Amino acid sequence: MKSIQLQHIQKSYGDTEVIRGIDVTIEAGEFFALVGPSGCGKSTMLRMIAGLESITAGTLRIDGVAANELKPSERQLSMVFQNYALYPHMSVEKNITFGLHTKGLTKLEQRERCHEAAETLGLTDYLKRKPRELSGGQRQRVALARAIVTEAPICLMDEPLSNLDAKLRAKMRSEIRQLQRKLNLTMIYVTHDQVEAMTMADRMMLLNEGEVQQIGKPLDLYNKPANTFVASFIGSPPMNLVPVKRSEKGFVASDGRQFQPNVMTTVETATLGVRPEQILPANEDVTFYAELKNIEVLGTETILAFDVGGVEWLAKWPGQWPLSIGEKVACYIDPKQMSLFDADGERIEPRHPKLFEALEVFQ
Amino acid sequence: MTVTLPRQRVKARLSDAVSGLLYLSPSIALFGIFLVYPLLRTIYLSFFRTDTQGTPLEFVGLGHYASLFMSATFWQSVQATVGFVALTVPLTILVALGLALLANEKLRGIGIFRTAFSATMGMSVAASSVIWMFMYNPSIGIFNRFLEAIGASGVQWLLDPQYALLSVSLATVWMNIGFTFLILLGGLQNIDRALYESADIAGTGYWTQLRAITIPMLSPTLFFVGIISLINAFQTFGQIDLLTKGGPMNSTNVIVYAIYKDAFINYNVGGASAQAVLLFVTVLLLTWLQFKLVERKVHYQ
Repeated sequence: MKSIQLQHIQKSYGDTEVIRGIDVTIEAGEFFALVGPSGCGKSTMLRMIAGLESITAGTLRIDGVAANELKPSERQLSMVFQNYALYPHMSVEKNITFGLHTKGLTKLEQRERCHEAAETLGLTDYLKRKPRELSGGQRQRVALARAIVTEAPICLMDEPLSNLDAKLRAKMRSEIRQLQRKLNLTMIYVTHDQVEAMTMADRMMLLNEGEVQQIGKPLDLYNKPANTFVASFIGSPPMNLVPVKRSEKGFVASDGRQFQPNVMTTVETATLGVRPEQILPANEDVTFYAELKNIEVLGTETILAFDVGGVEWLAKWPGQWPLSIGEKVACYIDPKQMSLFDADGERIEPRHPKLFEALEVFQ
Repeated sequence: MTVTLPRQRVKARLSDAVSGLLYLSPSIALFGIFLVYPLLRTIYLSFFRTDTQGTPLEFVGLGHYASLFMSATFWQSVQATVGFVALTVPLTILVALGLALLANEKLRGIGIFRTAFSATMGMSVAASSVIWMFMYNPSIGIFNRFLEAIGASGVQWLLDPQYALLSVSLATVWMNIGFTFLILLGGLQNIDRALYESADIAGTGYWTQLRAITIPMLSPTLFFVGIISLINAFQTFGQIDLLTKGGPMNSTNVIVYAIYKDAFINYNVGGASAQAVLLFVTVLLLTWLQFKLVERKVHYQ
């Protein structure tokens, strides 16, 4: 088990900055997901850790030792590529054992390890086949076997599931997670799919345009997004956002709808955010009435679409609701479930009202 | 059981065939006039004694073939051809592969080298032959000047039967490098970078990667280049005509040049035709053999 430390890591190609100073420590044995939209620098980040790209500035430490100048093979890691990078002319067995001789293993030891890895991944019957004779999922397993056969303590994965169909992806997700736990690997997993990151990671880092947006446990990112970017990237459908202005009772959207978030702040304009599943059918208290623009009944839940302050919002109601388009429905939002972001899009932390008053006095 | 097609469908099929043939007719005409007819005519003429115009006079059966196999000059031609092929084909591929591997590295200004290495492709055989003729010139050529500079005696590059075939072969290798280099570089660039990155992480060195990844992944391209080079080498004519005219003492009289001399200088059209047929059969057999033997070792993706 090895930890990985990134200390103000930067990457530029000429004058273009791709990674703008990243600081994070990935603990030994942790499943760490790097998430972000395409072009955000997450793959570059991973390739810098692997040693396939040079680091422009900053220090990379593996178990405390500076590793910037180490060759990829000296970093005690394995890597699974997006397209698997299998050698098409070699059998599965050769693919798995390729390069093991450099670790000073005899032919017999190589074969033993290969069979062990193949057994773990259910590939024993396919060892003599060529990659082209395998299905997508089996190829994926060969790539995994090749990563674990080296017994490297760190494993890097670059969008390993993006070439699989949805059903297989869900299956491999849990397989990879189990494998990581069983072998106690320090895993860095790159994906653009926030569902993958949410379901697999111990902690995750959300990147946008080379900058860290938030680092934390998946549920922290979900419940307390640090800014509007995180709010709109995590969750499916994502958090509903609307610009609001301060009013007498709280905040008001441009269409006059009132919100009273449980957040004490002095800002005049802000962005209000609510998760779709936090917009509930109203029983007694009504936050607002919504005129339905669209409705999707999905069996276990119903997705309602309506406008708030000129922005389309989605609400997710549990169960099947026989509503029709144009109908007006009463919605309720628990004030504690409203997030508020300042003019720069940064989250305003809800403070205890008493503490807030005390602070006001000081100022 | 016979199936009777409705009249309309028969008509439709017929008109399909007609329009298909119409589309094909330009290339059928070209192939027919310039390839199929000359081939058949050559085979036909190889069985006849002809006058100087190539008009068949008397059927001689396999007579031309029999006299070829008895002729010392013919066997000398065969020897020169085999020597020429053996000298040019492997050397061209090896040098071009080396250059392609160098030019495939990601370095600043590598484009200049890629252009330079492929430049010979844009030069005609005639122009290159003249350049090499100057370089081989015994008194002013650069090779002899170099030899003199290091104190060795000069060599009659194109006039000494010992060196002439080697000299022509070297010039040919240089002329063919551009094309071969370009094809091999294209093949190298088609190899997925991730394969090498994965090997880097596994810790294998450059030569292991070359042997275990590059060569197998490049094998379809190498196979293609091998066949093209072989056929080209058997058909070489231009540089022989310009540099040595088959001499000295027939040492560079490769089969195509011998055919040319027999047909258009000695007016022995029948004998030349017989040699052409033999060359055709040889190249056909060798190519077939190459497909049979080498293709098993080629990894198509």
